[in-house]
Amino acid sequence: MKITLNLSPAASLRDRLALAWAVPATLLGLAALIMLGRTALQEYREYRGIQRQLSEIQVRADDLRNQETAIRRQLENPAHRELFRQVRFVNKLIDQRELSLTELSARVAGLLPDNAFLTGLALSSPKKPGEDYLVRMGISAKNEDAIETFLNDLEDAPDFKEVSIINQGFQETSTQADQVSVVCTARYLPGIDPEAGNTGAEEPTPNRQSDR
Amino acid sequence: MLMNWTRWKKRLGLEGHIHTGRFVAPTFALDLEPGFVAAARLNPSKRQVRSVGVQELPAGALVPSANKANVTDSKALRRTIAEVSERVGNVGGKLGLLIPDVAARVALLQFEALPDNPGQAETLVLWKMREYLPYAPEEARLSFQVLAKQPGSVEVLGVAVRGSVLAEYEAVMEGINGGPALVLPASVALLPLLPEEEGGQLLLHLCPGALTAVVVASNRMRYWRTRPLEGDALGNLEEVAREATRVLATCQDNLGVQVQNVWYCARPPQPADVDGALANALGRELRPLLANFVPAAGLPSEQREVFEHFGMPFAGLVANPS
Repeated sequence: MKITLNLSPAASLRDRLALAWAVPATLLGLAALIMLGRTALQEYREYRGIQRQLSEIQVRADDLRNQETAIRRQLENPAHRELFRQVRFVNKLIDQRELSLTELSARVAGLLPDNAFLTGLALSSPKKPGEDYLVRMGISAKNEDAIETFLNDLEDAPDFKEVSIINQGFQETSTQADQVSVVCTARYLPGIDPEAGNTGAEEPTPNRQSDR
Repeated sequence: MLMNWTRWKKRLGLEGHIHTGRFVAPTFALDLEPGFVAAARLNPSKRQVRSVGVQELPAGALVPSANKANVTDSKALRRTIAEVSERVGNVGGKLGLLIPDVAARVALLQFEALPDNPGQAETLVLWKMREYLPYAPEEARLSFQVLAKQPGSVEVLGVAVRGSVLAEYEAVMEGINGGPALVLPASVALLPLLPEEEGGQLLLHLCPGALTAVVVASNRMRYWRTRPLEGDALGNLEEVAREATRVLATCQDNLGVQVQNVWYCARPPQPADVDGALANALGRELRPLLANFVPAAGLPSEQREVFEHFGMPFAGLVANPS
């Protein structure tokens, strides 16, 4: 009599497939492991490169910090501090020397033609830092051409800008007969070489504020 | 869409219940009985027993029972198994384990129909076997075989062992060839040796602690009964004879099976008194169960004697077509 009985557990699908899938699963796992390993190695190399760059930057920053500390230490030296004070004093003097009313008067007088003369000169200091000095000038001349020449020269001068005519008078209002007087303002830029901007070219004057 | 996780868990073998497999021919087999452990190296393809050995087991080390602990001295049992395995020469391969008949429950069941789904069929067989089991059916590990199938009638042979009992045997086998690939009661392994004749064949398998009587007719099992015995057969001679007589009468009177031959397999061999008493009680000649093919032709003489006295279940394993 043939028997088919068996009390031993049947191999489940998992058991049957376990062996069949063991090799491909192992190969897949190995491939994944190699890929992960390569990626990890690459990332590690990049990390090392960045770390090296960072170290270099840190070393350079440390050097600069050391240099700064050394310079500060030198500046805090009493001898250098005295020198620093003196330099500041000299700089202040230079600033004060930058604007001289005498020079301004001479400069304006230098712009006057022969038949014109300066009747008044006033200087206003800037109200805010960064603003320019404002010069108010009174000019008298025998004819209008001299005034015109002066104003043109004033506009062309590099150390003056924004020339504005405040008041213009003729014979009737002038104190002398056949005299033309004008009061004008301009912003003065001390320290600029008058010769530097004098190109001699006839250029328009966009900053002129009124027609004469 | 909802997934049928139960089905998948069942397929993947992740659910709690253990499904049994089909017969597999082992290449190394161990037969555990109270009093001895027999081992054999087998060649199923050539239907040969290559080597066989037996080792005495200390008394009380194995106490077969259907619902109680069987292995009382696992250390001694392991040692005996190791000794006999070494003598026989375990070269690996599939391991077959033969357990005492008393540890298993065997039943012949009748159904009008059996579901085609193996899981459902197993549940139905187990449900019907519940009256034969001294424990809850859920605790049983079941294997069944359809003996005959006709319209409106299905005859099934069911074998069940309590899971905890089987776990004891499997625990003893741990580390030997990856555990047993085949587990059977010893008497089931003898069935392939019975001749395929029309008339009834009565098999009496006398082992320490039990007498199993099986009747096969027209290549179909008709009767199975395992009678536990207190002590050895010589001490229970009267009871053994009465049991054999009762089986014979039941088969003839109730089942209508005319027993043609009485096959007798006593392991270890019994004194002539026992055999004679049995023959007298039955009024029949007792024919020793021998393999009708010569599976042990290559064995040395001392091993051949061991084979004839203890190794018939091994002959049945190689005789059974897998």
